[in-house]
Amino acid sequence: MQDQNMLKQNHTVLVIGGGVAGIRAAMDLAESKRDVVLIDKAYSIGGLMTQLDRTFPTNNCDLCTLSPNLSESGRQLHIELMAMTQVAEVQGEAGNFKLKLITEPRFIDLEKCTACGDCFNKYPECVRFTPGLDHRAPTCMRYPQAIPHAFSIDIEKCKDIDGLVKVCKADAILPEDTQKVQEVDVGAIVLAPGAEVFDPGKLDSLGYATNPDVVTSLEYERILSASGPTQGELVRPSDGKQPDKIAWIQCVGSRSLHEGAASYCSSACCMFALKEAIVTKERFQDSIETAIFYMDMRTFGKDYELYLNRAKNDFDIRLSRSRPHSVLRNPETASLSITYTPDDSNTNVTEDFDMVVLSTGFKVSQDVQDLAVKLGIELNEHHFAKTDSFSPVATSKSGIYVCGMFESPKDIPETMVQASAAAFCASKDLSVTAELSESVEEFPPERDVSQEPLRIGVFVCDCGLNIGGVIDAKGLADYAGTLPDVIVSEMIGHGCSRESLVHIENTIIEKNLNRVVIGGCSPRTHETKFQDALRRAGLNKYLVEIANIRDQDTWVHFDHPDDAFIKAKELIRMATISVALSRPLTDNIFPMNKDVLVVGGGVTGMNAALGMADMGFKVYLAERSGELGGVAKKIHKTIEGDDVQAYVKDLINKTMQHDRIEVINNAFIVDHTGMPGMFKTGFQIAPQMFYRQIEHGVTILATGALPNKPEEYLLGEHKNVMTQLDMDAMIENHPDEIKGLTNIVMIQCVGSRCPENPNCSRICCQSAIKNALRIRELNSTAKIFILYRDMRTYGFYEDYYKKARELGVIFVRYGADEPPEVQAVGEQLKVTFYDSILRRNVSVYSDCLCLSTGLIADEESSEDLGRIFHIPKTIDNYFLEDHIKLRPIDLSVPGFFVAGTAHAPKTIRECIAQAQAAASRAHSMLGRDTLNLGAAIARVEGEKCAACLICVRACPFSIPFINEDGYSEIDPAKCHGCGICAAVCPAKAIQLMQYEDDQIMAKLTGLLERVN
Amino acid sequence: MPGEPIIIEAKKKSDFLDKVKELLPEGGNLNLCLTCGACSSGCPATGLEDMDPRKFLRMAALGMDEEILSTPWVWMCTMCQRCIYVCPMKIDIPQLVYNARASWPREERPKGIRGSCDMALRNDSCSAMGTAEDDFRFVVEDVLEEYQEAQPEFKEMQAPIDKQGAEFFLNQNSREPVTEPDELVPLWKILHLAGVDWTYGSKGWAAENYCMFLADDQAWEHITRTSAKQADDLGCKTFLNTE
Repeated sequence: MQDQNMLKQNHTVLVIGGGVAGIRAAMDLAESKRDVVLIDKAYSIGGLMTQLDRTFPTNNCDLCTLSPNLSESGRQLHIELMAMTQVAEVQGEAGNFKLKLITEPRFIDLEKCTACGDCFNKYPECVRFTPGLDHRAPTCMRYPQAIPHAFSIDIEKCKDIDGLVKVCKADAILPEDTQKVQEVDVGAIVLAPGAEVFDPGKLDSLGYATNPDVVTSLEYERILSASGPTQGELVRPSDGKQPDKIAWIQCVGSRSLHEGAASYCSSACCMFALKEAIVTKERFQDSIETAIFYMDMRTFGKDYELYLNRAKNDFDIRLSRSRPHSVLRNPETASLSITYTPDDSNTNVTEDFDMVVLSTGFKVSQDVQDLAVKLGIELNEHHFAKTDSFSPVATSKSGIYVCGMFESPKDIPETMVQASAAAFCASKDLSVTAELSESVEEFPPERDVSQEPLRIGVFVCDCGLNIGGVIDAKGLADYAGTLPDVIVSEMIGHGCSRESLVHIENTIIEKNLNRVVIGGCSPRTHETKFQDALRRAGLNKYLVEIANIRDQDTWVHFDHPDDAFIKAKELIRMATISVALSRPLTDNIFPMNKDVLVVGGGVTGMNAALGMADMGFKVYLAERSGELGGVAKKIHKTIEGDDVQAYVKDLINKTMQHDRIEVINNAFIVDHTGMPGMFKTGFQIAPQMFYRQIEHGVTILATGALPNKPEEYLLGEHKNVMTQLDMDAMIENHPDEIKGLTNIVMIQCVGSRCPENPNCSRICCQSAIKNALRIRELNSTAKIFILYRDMRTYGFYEDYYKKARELGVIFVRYGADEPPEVQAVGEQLKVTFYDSILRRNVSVYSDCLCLSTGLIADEESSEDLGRIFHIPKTIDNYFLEDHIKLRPIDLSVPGFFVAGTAHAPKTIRECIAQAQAAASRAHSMLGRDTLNLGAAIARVEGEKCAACLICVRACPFSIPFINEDGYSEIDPAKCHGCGICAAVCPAKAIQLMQYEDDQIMAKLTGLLERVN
Repeated sequence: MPGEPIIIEAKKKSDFLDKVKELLPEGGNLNLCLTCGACSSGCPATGLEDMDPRKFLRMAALGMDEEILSTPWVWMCTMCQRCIYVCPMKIDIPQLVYNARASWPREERPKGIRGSCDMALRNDSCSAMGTAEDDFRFVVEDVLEEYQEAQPEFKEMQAPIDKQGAEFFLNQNSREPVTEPDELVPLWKILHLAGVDWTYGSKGWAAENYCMFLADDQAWEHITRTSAKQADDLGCKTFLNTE
C-alpha cells in the first residue's frame, strides 16, 4: 500500500509569491529538478525589491542585481509562471494538495505582446500600474525588465476599447478576456507572499496625510529610482525643487502600541534609512543635509555596523537619538518643522527640513491572512506564519513551508536564506522517487562552418523604448547592413521575445548564416537565450556576439541621442568584426561526484549533513574537536523557552546513527584541489595525525565562531563577573544562587562594536533579555540593570524586550565614548554609569555583573581554511559570501557554501535556516549529473612556451605546471577561466578560449577604425 | 562624569511608581518607556526646572521618590496630554504627574491654583472667580437685553438659566461674565441660529475646575457633581462642556 502512496505522490511544488523569496525558492527547486508552479497576484513578478532604487550595503542598483534572477526564472524549464493568480481553495495534505487557482484577466495575450508600449503611449489610463507616487510614470511597466514582459489592461478604465485594440500592432489585446479557474495538484507548498508597508496616514502628528513633502521610505525609493515617477531626479513633491535638508523618522508603525501599528521591530528600516541617506549624498549632492531620528540604531546584520560607521564618518549623516513629537508645516518658509529633545539634553530644538521620510514598517496584509486560513496554517499574535525554533521555515501544517517577510520581518539576505531553506524542505518531502520528469531541450547536430565563407546576420532590438526611444534602431540595422560580410541586417523589436527568437532561427537557416550579432542588452542576462536559438538552428553556440547597446549606450546616454547613435554604430561594428573571428567551441563537461563534505559539527553542520544525507547523498562530516555539538552545547534555553540541550542531543544521535553520514572527528584540513563536482580534500586526523583524502562534489563550511572572552570589566579576575553563557549555566545549575541576588548589572557590547571586533554580535541583546527574564522567574525582587548602546531586539524579539521592561528590568543607554566603570568592592562590584536622561552618574553596588560578550570569528581556523580553499574573508575574519545581498550562502569559489556563525553571528534558529539553505544550494548543484565548466578555459601552445614559470606563479588556483615536455600545462578540468595566465604570459603562449587575443584585438581595431 | 552619583545599593523600591501603577488600567504602561523622547519633544514644560516628562518618568523608575515628589515642575505641566498622544508605548505620564501633585500637602500647592479651587468651593456657582449665582444671572440678562435691542436680527435670541427640560446643559468659563461679558454673545448667536434648545444652570454653571489641576480629588468631585446634578435636575439630555 505504501508504495502505491508513493507513486501517487505529486512532484510539483507550488510557490506562492514572486518576490525575491519566491523566485529564489522556485529556482532552487527547479535546479534540483522539481517542477514548480510560481504564482503571484501582481501582473509581473519581482515584488517589493523591484520598486527599490538601490540596496544596502553595496548601494548597487536593485534591478541590475535582481534582473538576472528574474529573467532566469522566466527561462527555467521547470518553472511555470502564473501572474495575476491567487489561491481560491485548498484541499488535501502533504504530498497531495489539490488547489484551485484563479487567474484574473490581463486583457493581453502574453504570447503576442512585445511590450512595445503603443497601448500605453496612446491610452495611458488603460494600462495597469501600481508602484510609485505618480501612477502613470514613466513606462507603466512595474519595472523596465518586467517578467512577464507584457502590459496589463484595466478594461474598466478604458473608454475606447476599439481604439485600444487597433493601436496594438501585435494584435495582443483581448477585450473579452475572462477570469480563469484551474486546478493544480502539488506535493508541497512554499509561501513567499511578502508583506505590505504600514500606512502612516493615521498618525496625524506626522502630517503624512496633509503634507506632500512627508513621504514613506518606499515612496522615497521611487523618487530616487530611475524607473520612478521623477525618473531618478531628487525633487520634493510640493514644488519640484531639490531638497537641501531631509529628515528620516524611524519606527513609524513599528515598535508601537498605537492602533494599526506593530509592536514588533520591522528589522530592515534602520539599514534602509541609512542607505537612503547615503545614496542621497552619493548620487545627488554631498551638501544635502541628512538627519535620521531613531530610537535604537539596529544595524545587527553582517558588516552592517561598518555601514553605520561609514554613514556617520564618511558621509556625515546626522544620527539623532530622539523621536520628534510632530511634523508641522512652517507657515513662513513652507518647510517642515520638527521639534525634538536631543539625547543628553532637556532643551528642545526646532529645526526646519525640506522633506521628511517616514521609515514605515512591514505588516502582513489581510489577503495573506485570509490565505493562511484557506491553507489551515497557524499564525502568531502578529499575524505572521507560526514556526518552531528548531524548524524555522516549517509552518504548523506538514508540507507547507514559509520564507521571507511572512515568517517575520527581515531584509533581503535573510529572505534569500529562508527561501533556499524552504525550497530544501519542500524538495525533501518529494524526494521519495528519484526519477523525476526530465525536460531537456533536444538540439539538432551542429553544422561545420569552418570551410564556409563568412555570412553574418545582424539583429537589432529596439527593446521597447529602451533602445528605440533614444536612437533610430532601424537606422542602426541599415548601417550594419553596409558592414563587410553582413548578409542580413534587421530591426526585430524585442529580440528576446519568443516570436523574435523563432524569426532569428528561421533567418539563420534560410539565409545560411554562420555568425550572428545581436544589438541588444546585456549578455549576462540574455546571452543564453540567443545561444539556444543558434543551437536550434544548428550552429555552435559560441558563434554569436552581443553588442550591449541598451546598458552601455541608450541607458547611459539617453540625453544625447545623436552621440548615442554614433556610439551604437561603433558597438555594432566592434561586434561584427569580433564575431567574424569566433570559432566553434566545445564546453568542458565532466561527471559530477555527488558526495558532500561538511566542515564543522555544530548545530549548523549537523543540520546540513542530515539534510543532504536524508536526500540520499553520502556526507562526510569533519569536526575539528573530539565531539559534535559546538557552542550550542553550552546553551540551555532559547528565548522562546525551548530546550536546547535536548535538541542538540537528539541531533547528535541522528547524525551518529545515519547510514550515509560518516563523522570524522579530530580532523584538520591540510590540502584541497579540484573543481566543483570533483574536489579532493586532505585531512590529518588527531591524535596520530595520519593523513586521509576524500573526494567530494560540494563543500559546506559550518565552522562556527567562538564565544568571545575579552579581558574587560574584571572578567576572569572577580568571581562575580561572568559572561551570559556563564549566567545561562548558573540559572540552570544553581538556581538558589540566583534567588539570593539583589542587584544584577548586565553590560552589552563588551568586545563587540569596538575597534578589535567592529561588528555587532547580533545575539547578545536577546540573550541578555532571555537571562533577565529567567532571573526574574526565580527572583522577583532583584533589581536588574541592562546597560546598552542600542537595544537590537529585531523582529519578534522586541516582544521580549517589552516583557522585560514590564517586569521592571531597567535599561540604561551608554555611549561608546563613555563606557560604564567597574570597581571591585569586596564581594560586590560598584558599577558607575552616566544616565543621559537624568544627566547624572549612577552607581550600582551589584552582587553579579554579567557581560554580553558575544561571538568572535575563529581566526585560526578561518585563516587556514580560507587559504586552503581560496575563500575570501571579511575584515573580522568571517567567510565572505559571493554576493552579500542575493547569494548569502554561495561562496565565491563555485561548489562552496557557508552556513551558521562561520558566516556571521546568528541565533540557533537562524543557523538552522542557513544550514537548510546551504543544503538547498548544494542540492541544486548536485541536481546535475555532469558539470559544465563552459568553454572559457586557458589553453597553452607548447611550442611558444618558454617555461618561464610566470603563469605557474600567477595562477590563484595553482593549476599550471611544467610538464615532461618542458612546457606549461593547464588541466581543463581544474582551470577556472579567470584569464590571468593569458594576460601575463610574455610569449603569448596562453589563450583563453572564447576571449582569444585576435578577437579582442579585432574589436579594438573595429572601434578605432576611424582614428586609424 | 558630572555631579554626585545616585547610589543604588540593596533593595530600594520605587514605591511611588508602583502605587500609581496599581491605580491605572494596564498600570498606565509606566514601566514600558523606550526613552525615545517623543514626550519631551512635544511638551511645553520641557526644560523648566531642569525637568521634562521623560526624565520625570525615569526618576520614578529609579525610585527617586523624594525628588519627584518635591519638584515644582509637576505644577508646570498643563495636563495637555500631548505626551501620551504620541508615546509609542502609550505611557500615562499625565497620571503620574497628577498623582505626584496629589502627594503634596494641600497648603504647599501653588497659591494661584489653590486659591481658584477654594473660590469655587465658596458657593454653588463653582466659579473659580467666586462669582455668586445672582451676579451671573444679572450679567446674562443684562447683556442679552442689550443685544436684543441693539441688533434687531437677534431680537428673539434667548440665554435661558435653569430652563426645565432643555436639550443641552451649557457651562461657561467664569472669566467672560466677570471681565468680558460681550464674549458670551457669539456662542449664544450660534446656538440661536442653529435653533438649539439649551440652558445655563444657576448652580454649577462655571466650566473651569481648578480643583482638578490642584489634584484635590474631593473638591474636584464636589464641583463636578454640583454641575452634573443641576443638569440632571433640569432634565437636560446632553452636557456641553465648553472648557
